[in-house]
Amino acid sequence: MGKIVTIASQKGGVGKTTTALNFSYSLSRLGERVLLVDADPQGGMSIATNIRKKTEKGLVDYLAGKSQLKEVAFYTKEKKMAIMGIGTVDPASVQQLEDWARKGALSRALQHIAKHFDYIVIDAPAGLGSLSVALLGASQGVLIASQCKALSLKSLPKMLALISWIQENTNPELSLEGIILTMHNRDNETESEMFREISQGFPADLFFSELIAYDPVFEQASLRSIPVGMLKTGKVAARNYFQLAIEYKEREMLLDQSKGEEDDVDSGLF
Amino acid sequence: MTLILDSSEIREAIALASELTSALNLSVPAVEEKVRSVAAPEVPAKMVRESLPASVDEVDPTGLEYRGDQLEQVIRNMCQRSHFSGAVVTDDTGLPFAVVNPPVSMEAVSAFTVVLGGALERAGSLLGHHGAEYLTIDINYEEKIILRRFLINDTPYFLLAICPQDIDERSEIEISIDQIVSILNKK
Repeated sequence: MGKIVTIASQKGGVGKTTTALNFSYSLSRLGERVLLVDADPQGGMSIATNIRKKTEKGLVDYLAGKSQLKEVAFYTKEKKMAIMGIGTVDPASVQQLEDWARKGALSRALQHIAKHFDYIVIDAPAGLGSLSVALLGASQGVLIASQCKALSLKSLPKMLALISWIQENTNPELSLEGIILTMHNRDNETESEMFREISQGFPADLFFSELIAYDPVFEQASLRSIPVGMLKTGKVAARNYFQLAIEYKEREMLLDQSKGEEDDVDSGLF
Repeated sequence: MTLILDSSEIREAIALASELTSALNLSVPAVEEKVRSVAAPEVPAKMVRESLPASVDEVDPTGLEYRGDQLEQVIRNMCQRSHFSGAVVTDDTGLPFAVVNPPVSMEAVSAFTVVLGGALERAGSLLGHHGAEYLTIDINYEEKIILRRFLINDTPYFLLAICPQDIDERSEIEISIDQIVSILNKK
């Protein structure tokens, strides 16, 4: 079964959707079969990828049993990456979505879909609502997107507390896989100083060493509804996300190794 | 005095994060600023080549933590051993995975790789040699560009290098490609 990874944040506007899209694209370029799921009723990912051009249906319609997986998830030209939009969004369906989330139907559906992919990357809504709780309850990994700015960093404890609560109460398999610092402006001295401080204060392995630099080319990619790596002028910006995907895979490998050491050595051939 | 570290929210976040990451047990090195911005060098590639130290000790790429750093070290070693001016590893869309001393801006290198890579593939099929994978172009009286196409799990990648015209670079390229493939192929 594929791994479900949620891109989450307490605060909105921190580059979560951009990160979900470009991180998924980079994983697919590494040869992984990735499904990117828009689970945010705001539908940012559906807009960012223009999946509505293919279909108006998506996650909501799949959960309602109105559509099959092949009718809502579409492979991109990259072949290894598929996208599922949020689907029909109106006040009633949003309420229904939250209801499915509370009753566990969303988690079960995601786990079923995960059989067909190596990774399901979920663009979660900002905040700590029932949808976020259900998505984290169904995930094996969570990546937090944050800017290196005071408001964004100060909102971290709420999300970290939620992850801790979910680990204890609903999903012990959930692992905080790291925090991605986005829209980093290296010319901003205050931001650089804050980065130095949090690097020293937080656990060393919490933040990904690859910082996502602010680059206007992300806006150009958004206008075209494509990952930045598909823009001719976006290769340098895309490299941040590609290196992030490599670092993510490295962390997974290290985690697997550390888990393997704890296994019963008599249980297998090795 | 600190900007943010003393705030109650950050102290709370640090405490929570310490609990959450203690189970991870990752031996990831301490975080350091790693924003990559690759700009064109201010001197022509030929001058850079001449200024490269001739006998710098090679660093073993397998000792490096991250795959991206390993890739970069492989091509850095290649450039040092054979006095190449620079080298780039990209995928077939021109996305650069590893870069050492690019001769022009990265956008230009990406575009160049895509154009040459497409030409290499098309030329190979026109000539009935679908395995065509090597292209050299003299760029001035002293240097040439090498483009070597290679496959990993049926996905094409490119190694582009700039080297002196008077050397036989093939064995060096092949050795480096073996190392690159083993790094990119690693699960």
